[in-house]
Amino acid sequence: MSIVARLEGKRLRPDLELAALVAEAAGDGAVVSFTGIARPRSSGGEAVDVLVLEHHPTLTQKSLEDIAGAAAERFDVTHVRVVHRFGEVPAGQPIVFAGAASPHRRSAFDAADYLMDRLKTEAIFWKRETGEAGSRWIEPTETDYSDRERWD
Amino acid sequence: MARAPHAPQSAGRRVKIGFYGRLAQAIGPKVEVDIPAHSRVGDVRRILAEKFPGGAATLASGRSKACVGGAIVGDEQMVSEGDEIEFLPPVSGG
Repeated sequence: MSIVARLEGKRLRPDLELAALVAEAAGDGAVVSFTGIARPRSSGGEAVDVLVLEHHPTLTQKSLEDIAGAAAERFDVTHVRVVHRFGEVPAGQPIVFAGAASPHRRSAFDAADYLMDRLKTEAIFWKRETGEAGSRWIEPTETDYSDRERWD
Repeated sequence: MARAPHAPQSAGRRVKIGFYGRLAQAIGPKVEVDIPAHSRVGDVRRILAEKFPGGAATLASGRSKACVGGAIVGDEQMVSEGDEIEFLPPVSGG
C-alpha cells in the first residue's frame, strides 16, 4: 500500500503522475485516474483567464492526506495518489490528479470517484476565477454536496 | 483627537482572528478584536458579523468553519487567552 497526497505549487503533470501510479501498480490489475482541468469559461459563459487556489498553511495538506487515507481504508486498493495545485492555474491547465490502483477495476473506479467527491467539497481550498467578468469566488454546487453525501 | 486606543477591560480580552478566501477579501486577512471573557467561538462569529457586515452572510453560513490551534472546532468551543482563531469560508477543491 502506498498513499501519496501532495500539494503542487507549479505546473501539475498528470502524465507523470499516472506513469508513477502505473509503475507502483505493476502487480495489480487496474489503475483509474481523474484529471481536473481549469475551465476556460465560467458557469455564466464569460472567458476565464486564471483560476486562483488559495490554501491554508497546514490544514490543506492535512485535508488531502485525510481524504487519500480514507479512500485507501474504504476500498480494496493498493495505491492512492492525490496531487492538487495551489496558486494561479491558467485556464486549460490541470488542477488536480486523483488516482487509485487495485487488483480489480471496480474498486479503482469507486476509489477515484470517492476521492473527487470529497476533494470537491472538503479539500481546504478557496477558488476564485478571474477573467472577462472580473473576479468571482467559486464554491461547490448542491450537486457536488449531494454527490459527496452518496458515500455517507 | 488622539486618545488611548483601548480603555482597560478587566473582563474582556483581545484575540487575533485570521480569515481566508472571500472572508479575507471582505474583512482582511487578519484583525484583532476585543471579546468578553468566557466567549465561545459562536460568540466571536456573531461579534465579527456585527463589526464587519461585508462578511456577515459568509460567517453565518453553516458551511463556514472555525479553526483554533490548527484544529477545526465547533461554535461551542470556549475561547482561551492567547487563542488565534481562523474562520474558513466554504471550501472547494478539485
